Amino acid sequence: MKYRKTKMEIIKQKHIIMKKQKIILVILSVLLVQVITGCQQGQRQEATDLLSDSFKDNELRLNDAMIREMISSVPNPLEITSVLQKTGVVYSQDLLNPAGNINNYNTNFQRALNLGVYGTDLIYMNIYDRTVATLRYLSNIRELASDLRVEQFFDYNTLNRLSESSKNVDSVLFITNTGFDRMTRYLIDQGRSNIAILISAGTWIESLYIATHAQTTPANKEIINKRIGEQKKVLDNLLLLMNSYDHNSDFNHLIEDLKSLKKQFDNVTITYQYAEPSIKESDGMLVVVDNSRSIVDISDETIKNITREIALLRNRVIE
Amino acid sequence: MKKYFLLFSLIFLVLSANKSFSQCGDALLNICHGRLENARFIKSWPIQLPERARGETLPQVSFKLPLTSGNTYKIFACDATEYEGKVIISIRNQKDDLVVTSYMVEQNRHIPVIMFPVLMSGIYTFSFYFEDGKEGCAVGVVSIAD
Repeated sequence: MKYRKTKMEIIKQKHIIMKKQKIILVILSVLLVQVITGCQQGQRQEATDLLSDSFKDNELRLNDAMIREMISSVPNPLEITSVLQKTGVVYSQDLLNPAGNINNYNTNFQRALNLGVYGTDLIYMNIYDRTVATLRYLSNIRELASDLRVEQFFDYNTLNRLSESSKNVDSVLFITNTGFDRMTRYLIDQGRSNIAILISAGTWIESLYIATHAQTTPANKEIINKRIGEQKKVLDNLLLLMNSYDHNSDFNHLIEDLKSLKKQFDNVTITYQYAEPSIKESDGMLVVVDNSRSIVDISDETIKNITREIALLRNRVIE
Repeated sequence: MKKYFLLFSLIFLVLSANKSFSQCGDALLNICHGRLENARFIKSWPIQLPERARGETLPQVSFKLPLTSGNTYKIFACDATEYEGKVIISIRNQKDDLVVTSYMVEQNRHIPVIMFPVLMSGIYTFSFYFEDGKEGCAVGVVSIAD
């Protein structure tokens, strides 16, 4: 009898323990849900804009392949900075977006644009072997990328380590460029093309700002001015990309600024002279002798106007 | 229980072995990176194409990229060793005229590196396909030479 009673008690106790476990499980689940939603709310609250991650359903949208191709048509900042370096332009820290400005960027719109701006500054500094000075800019890129939930594409520890020596510039550029490339692909695949477009716009705006403010000899300045004139086509593509988001007031303001800049670029004429290239082999490599030419007609006045417009636009972006 | 443990261990080994030895994708780019030498990396494209089906056109992929006058570009590709296909690069200008290809037809020879000093800024098309339409995996790289 005693044994039976004990067995009953054991069963009862087991039931109580199981009930308790269930209650604990339910409480933990509720807490977990609250923590997760709390975190998500926290993230949303951090950004003060309502920049949606995707297009509205009823909009005429460019497909992902088109967006990818058009973003690819925006030159890598390395293109123009390499030209600047080759034409004897001296490095100027004053041209860069001050690292401390990061505290001003409270919206995803600002963060995406300035991720592109700081990315260009980082490349510019590396091209001129200012690797040690890049550390704060790397940290800014990390912070902005983290705010935009794309920090996984940059190996910051390796970048920080490599940035300690100017001998590692090529590796730093490799990691930075592959990081930006993978991030863009990821953003488009995730239906966050608006962020990818803004990052791309930021890189282009900063590259053009640096190019227009470069100080060099008149002969070299002429070469740079032609490269600036060639940006006319890039701007057309950028406007096409951005127009898909003109319902957003931030995008709309930027589009209006870019349109003012376009008015100045409309005075640039580009003509192409096509000729068959010749090929020669040297040291196991094929060397193309390009006989085609692009002729850029851009007046000093147009350059002056473009310089003024891009400075206004860029300063609005970084302020 | 032991059986399950063994089964899981076997699955894990097979999966991890696959990951360690597969060169296709980002791992291939990291290997290919060494061929940059002093050139500055701009862009890469992963290329993976199936074998050409009978009666079908040659599988190929194309990408557009702006090139700037005044820069000399070093362009090359690396093949994944586990595939038979050898990649061929062809570059076309914005008028769609062929500028250069990495395969010398008359000599039946692949040239590993293309140096392209650009004098006409514009958007160029980079196409990639594998010799004889074989299945292949590669990575195409565009960089700026000093």
